[in-house]
Amino acid sequence: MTDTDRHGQRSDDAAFEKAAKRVFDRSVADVDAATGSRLAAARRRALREANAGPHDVRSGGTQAQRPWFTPDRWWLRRTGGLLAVTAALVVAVALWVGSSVQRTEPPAVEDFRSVALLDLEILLGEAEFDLLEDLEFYAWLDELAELAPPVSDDDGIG
Amino acid sequence: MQTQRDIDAHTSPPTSLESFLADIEARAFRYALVAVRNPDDALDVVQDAMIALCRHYANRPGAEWRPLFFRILGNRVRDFNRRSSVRGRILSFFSRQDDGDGDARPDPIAAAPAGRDSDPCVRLAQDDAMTALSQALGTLPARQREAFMLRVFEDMDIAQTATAMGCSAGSVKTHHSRAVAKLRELLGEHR
Repeated sequence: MTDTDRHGQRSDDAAFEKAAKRVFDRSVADVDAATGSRLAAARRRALREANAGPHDVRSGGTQAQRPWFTPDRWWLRRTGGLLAVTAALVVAVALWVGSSVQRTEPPAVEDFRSVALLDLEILLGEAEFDLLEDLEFYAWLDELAELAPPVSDDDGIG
Repeated sequence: MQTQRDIDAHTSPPTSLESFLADIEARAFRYALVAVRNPDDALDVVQDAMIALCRHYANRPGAEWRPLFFRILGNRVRDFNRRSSVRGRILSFFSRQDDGDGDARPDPIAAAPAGRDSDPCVRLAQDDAMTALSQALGTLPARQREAFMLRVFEDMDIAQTATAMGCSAGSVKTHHSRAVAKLRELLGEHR
């Protein structure tokens, strides 16, 4: 490529850039009123943020929006932190103690075993099982005994 | 049409953050619109960039605001496009069986807010040119598009563009020249 070609290309590029800028500037001037007012609202909000003071990154808002985190309430932050740490410790200790108690004392299992053994005894004890089965019959016998006249000790024998 | 205020905004440092933002907001919106291709998303991105500038750089000299603002805006656009890309992949995964041809979003430039020019022919020509330019810019790699838009649309010199893009002056020159070559190839008939 000769110097003349290079110069020609550069001037073509410049003309192209100028035309592109003209198109872009026209589109900027064409921004409608609704968009313009939304942009103005965005600008006002941004300026309010700037006037509200430094941004608290951890809380995600400005100090004016979040008065709990203002520097003059440093003690609140410190107290809150201590409370959080204490609560976490209490929970951890409670979980640890609970798990160790469960490991050393298995009462639930023993209770379950005793209940199971009792059931087994009932099932294996044939006489008692028969008693349970004939419970209605024995109840009927009791009713008969109550209705029947009393029997005297003197039965005439002897 | 470029107003006197726009020209002043490019040549002299702003006196207050409010005037700076007022001067730049419409340009920033168009800049973001080319990159994110949706007016609502562009507004969100511009607002985020304004808030970040006000929070972190309000005390910096006014002359630094422009490159800083466009650097923040560029980062916000990149974040947005990254999130959109992830969201798009997830959505396309779930709707693969429903629709095979992908992007059904309306043309964002066609859906962009209407202009103030009353002459429909002039408006049509302007819209047509901006649509073509925007579509061509959309085909460029992000860094080339950024370099072109900052150098050409925002009249930034190489040092300011390098600051705004967070790269070296050499990279700016490379990205810019490649962008111009590609755009000229794409937009030959629109010149």
